[in-house]
Parts: sequence; C-alpha cells; structure tokens
Amino acid sequence: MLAENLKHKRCLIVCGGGGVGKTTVAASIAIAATKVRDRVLVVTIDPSKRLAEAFGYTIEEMVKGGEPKVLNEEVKTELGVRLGAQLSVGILNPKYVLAQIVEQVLTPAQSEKLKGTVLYQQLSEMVYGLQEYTAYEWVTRMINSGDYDLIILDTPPAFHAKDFFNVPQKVANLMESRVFQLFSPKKSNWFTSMISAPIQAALNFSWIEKLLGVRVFSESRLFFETFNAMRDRILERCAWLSRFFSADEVGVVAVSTIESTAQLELEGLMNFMREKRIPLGTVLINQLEQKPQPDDAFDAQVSGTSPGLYDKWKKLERHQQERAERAEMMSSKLCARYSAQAKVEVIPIPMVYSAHGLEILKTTADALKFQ
Amino acid sequence: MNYDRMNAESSILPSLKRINLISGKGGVGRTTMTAALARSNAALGKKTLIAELEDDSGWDSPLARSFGVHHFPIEPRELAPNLHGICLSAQAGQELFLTSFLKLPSIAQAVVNNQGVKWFLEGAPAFREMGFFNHLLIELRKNYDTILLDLPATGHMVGLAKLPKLLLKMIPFGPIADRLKEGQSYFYDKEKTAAWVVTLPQTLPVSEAIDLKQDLTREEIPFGGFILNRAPFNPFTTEEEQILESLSSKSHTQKRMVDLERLRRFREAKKRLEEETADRPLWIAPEVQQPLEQEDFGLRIQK
Repeated sequence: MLAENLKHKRCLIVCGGGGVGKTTVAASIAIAATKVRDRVLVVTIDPSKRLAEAFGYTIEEMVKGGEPKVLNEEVKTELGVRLGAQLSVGILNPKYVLAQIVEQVLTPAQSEKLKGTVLYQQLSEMVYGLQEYTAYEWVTRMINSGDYDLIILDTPPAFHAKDFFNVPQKVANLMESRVFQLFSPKKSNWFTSMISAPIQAALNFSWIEKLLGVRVFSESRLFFETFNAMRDRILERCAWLSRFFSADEVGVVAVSTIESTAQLELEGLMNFMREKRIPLGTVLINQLEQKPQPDDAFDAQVSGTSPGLYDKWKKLERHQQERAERAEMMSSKLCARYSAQAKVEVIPIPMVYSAHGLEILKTTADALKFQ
Repeated sequence: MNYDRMNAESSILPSLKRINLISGKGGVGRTTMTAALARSNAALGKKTLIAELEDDSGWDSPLARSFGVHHFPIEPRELAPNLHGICLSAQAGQELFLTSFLKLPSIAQAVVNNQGVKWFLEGAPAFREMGFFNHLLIELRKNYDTILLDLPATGHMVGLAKLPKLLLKMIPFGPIADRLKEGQSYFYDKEKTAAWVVTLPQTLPVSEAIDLKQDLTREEIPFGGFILNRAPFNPFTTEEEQILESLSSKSHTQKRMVDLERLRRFREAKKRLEEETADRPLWIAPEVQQPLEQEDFGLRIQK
C-alpha cells in the first residue's frame, strides 16, 4: 500500500509518538518516493538540526528565507535519489510564516505597529494554537503551490500523534472564541448581557487593565484585533485542511517501535483515526534490533587474546541475539494483529547501526524500496 | 562497567533538590524515571509530590498509569505512604489566582465562571503557562520535602522557565508581579531547584539533551544533571573494549557493527554528556527489557 501511495498520492502525512524516528523515516520515504515521482518535498515542523545536517545544511541555512531547499546533485547521488528527480527539504520557521501572514493581512503601518510590541516578539509562541496554525498555513501553501508532485509531511513533536489532525478544530475554536470579540472594535452586546448587574463592575475592561497593567492590556488588545482581522482567512484555511486530510489524494503513515509507550500512542492514534474516518494505510515498525552475523575469523582473533575476554564476547553476542529475537517476535505479532484487526499494511524497518545521518537515511530508504 | 538500575536511582536521590524539573524528549523513558525516583524518595520517608502538566487529549496519563490510576487529580492525591500525585492545570491555576485576587468569594466565583473571562484566559498569550505556574506555586507553599515535575521537552519547559522574566518586563507591579517574583525566588535558586534531563545513548537524543540543557542555563534555571537511560549490556572493562575495537578495525569487517556499535554509541554519548557537565556526575541507568507479554499491549483497538 505504501508503494501504491508513493505512486499516486499528493500528500503523505507521517505521524507517531516521540522518539520513534519519525523525522528520519519521513525523509527516507521521500528518498524512496523519488524512484517513482519527479518532484518530491519533505516538510518537517520539528526544527530538526540533524535532518538539516544529514542533507548538508545547517539548521540556520535551512530555515533562512522560510522556503524549502532543493537538494544539490552531490547530496542526491549519495542518497540514491533517481537521476532527474528533484528532492526538496523544508523545515518550518514559525516566526517567518507568522510575519508573512501579518504582512499580507495588515497595512504596512499596522504590521509595523504589531511587530513592535513585546507581545508579538516574545509571547506569540505562547498563544495556544498559533504555533500549529503557522505550520498549517505553510503546509497549505506548499500543497497549493503546484511545485511538488508529492509532499511528505512530518508532523510536529506534539504530546500525541493525533494532535496534528485536531489542529484545524483547535484553531477554529480559538478564532470562534469570544476572546477575539472581547477586543473587537465594535463591542457587541454579549458581554454585558451575559452577566448580572452586581458583578459587571468587576468584569469590565478596567478590571482586567488593573490586573495586567496598561501595557499588557493595550498590547493584548492590538494582538487580538489583528487576529480578529485575519479570522476569516484562518477559518477558511482550517476548513480546507480538515477536508484535505480525509481526501483521496492524502495518505497517512504511522511510525512506531516495539516499545510499549510507542505502541500505546499507535493504539490511540488508530482509534482516533477510525473515529474521524481518516484512512490509515501503513504502519512502520521502526528501529528493529538486528541479529549479530557470525564471523568466525573475528571470533578466533578474540579467542587469541584471553579466554576471559572470549567468554564475555560470546555473552554479548548472545545478548544481542536475544534482543533481535525478541524484536522479531514482537514485530511479527504486531504485523498479525494490525493487519487482521485494522486492515493496515505493517512494514518492519531494521535498526541502522550508524552515526552518519546520510547513511541512516539511505539505508532506511532502501529498506522501504523492497516493499 | 555494569550499571545497576537501583544504584543509579538511589545515587541521584541525595542530589535531588526541593523542586526537580525532569525533562527529556518523548521516548527516552523520562516518565518511568520520574515515577521510579518518586517512589524511592518517598520510601526514604520524604514527603514527595509527583506532578505533571494537564493535557487536553483525554487520553490516560502514562505517569498516572504507572501508579495504577488513569489520571492524577488537580488536588494532590495520596498514591503511597509519603507520596502524592497531582496534575497541574492551567485553568485551576488561573481560578486559584483570581480567587485570591478578588477577595470576595462570591464575586470570585462569578468571575471565574464567567464565559468571557474563561475565553480570555484560554486564548491570551502566556496565560496558559501563567496558570500552570500559579498552580505549581500553590503546591510549593505546602510542606512537601521533594517535588518532582515531569515535563515533556516541548515548548513547555523553556516556556515555563522564561515566563517570569518576560512577564515581569511587561507587568512590573501588582498581584501578578508578586506571584512571578515568588516563583523566581524558587526557580532561579540552585539550593531549591534542579532541572534534570533524561536522554538515551544515541547521537540525536544526546544532541537534543545538550540543547535543552543550554536553553535552561540561558534562562538561568539551575541544572541538576543528565540521566543517561538504557545503557546497553556491557560485560567488558575499558581495556577489553579497547582490545575489541583494535581487533575490529584491523579485521576490516562490517559484520561486527551490530555488537560493538551499541557500546560505541554509549561511549560517545557518555563522553559528550560528561564534557558538557564536567562539574557534576553523570547518572547512568541500564536498559531493562520489557516483558514480552504485556496485558494492555496494543490490544484495545476498537472494532
């Protein structure tokens, strides 16, 4: 199914819990996809230093300008990208995207004023939902740009794998929430009508102003007024993305390991997706321990040093053998369970014993191509 | 070179401060480590509070599950002798603050229950973090000997850490400023607070742990130390490891990668973390294999 999806889909969303190697897997899927597609983009929301470095960039270079980078021929050859195919890598720069939205929506004078506030400079990342929204805005633009045949989307390192799919709703709720209307220039009636007369005094703006101070209050006001102005655009984007996620041209790949925490995440994600009717096509069981390969010549050399060392060496080998057997058993159990219960394709991915980013990406991509 | 899990834990206990922020990326075993430390600390007779931040997913909390409950409540609950668990909630923290600010209980109640105010607190910048912060402050005023806060290394950790300074710039006086200053008196004092970063013996998690430590240091949160979790099984002495490495490099074989690579990675991780914190020990906890049969292991998929 992954093989089919790589050929036909416009977007593949890669999700999973923390520490399962999601970003590496997303990049490897993109490399594998270049076998069958011409212009592939892998987008990551996590400011992953190592992903940038694996592709030959520093993280600063990668996020500069806020646009994805097309990989050069040298890196592409090393990664085994098909000749003639284009592979681009994008890492989200939330500040850049936010600035861009603000510039598009506001007049230059308004946007300068907003950007001058401490709130915008320091605290905008603490607005619940705003960080995710910038990711959404950016991804939407990539999808609609027409510059890519296939986009592999690595979801943010959230609390839970399913959070990413909840973002449109979360942002929409935030925009619908009356906090924006609280600061809207036209003061509507809801505020006064909702509360009884005796406590109105405690609830008017001067009360909030007294608590927060004049500066915070006026900056908050400006901030919310701005987002109020962007409300329609944001809601429209959220609705579009919600629809897009369940469209035929989108596939979902879940990444997990045999660790119990990762399995619990996967289980929750699968239940969630069933509820939301988002089809999950593929589960990748990542980082499976491999068996030691027999090497008699090396054993003989170790045995030549001291009998004690040889015994310990064999002990280590048995230990690794047990780890690998355990991983294999677990993985085949999971394969059987998920393909029977949830009708998903399960692909085991071997652990890559290397510290080199490029090598890990290439080896993982090769493991995917066999499927 | 064998590391005993219990020894690793009990050797951290004397270094714990009153407030311990335990952080690390997902999948490094942070939650298990926090739970184990809390149990061992409480067993020493110290009044211990284990805390986590609320999460609105509605899923079970893995930390609470390790104590046999689905979630911790927003009021501390006794889990074992000397051990309490709490879930810090932004809303509870905001309400507690407003209640103390608006002295008249009836007005306070009306205010916190007012939909308009709720919306404001949910949406306004930093107010969520401020709520968590205040909820934690209220627990700090109680008589716990040790507080362990399990913090995922998302924006939360650094967000909470930099909140007091940022907000004090904007709100220098008044009741919020008083709270922020009270918080600063705890969190920036190395006698009272230590941040611990849990990580794994792999390149990427180690880089992330070092970044996190540097972020915390920049925000002037006292750093307790790194906890290097899941150290691989290693029967060798340092000399024996060297002998094996030199044999391996001479034999030009790739086959031995699997056996030796985990030990190499561990050595590299240990070296990098020790270089980053030359002034304090590195705590090492060995890998524990999960039992193969786990009751709830992926079995509860709805039909």
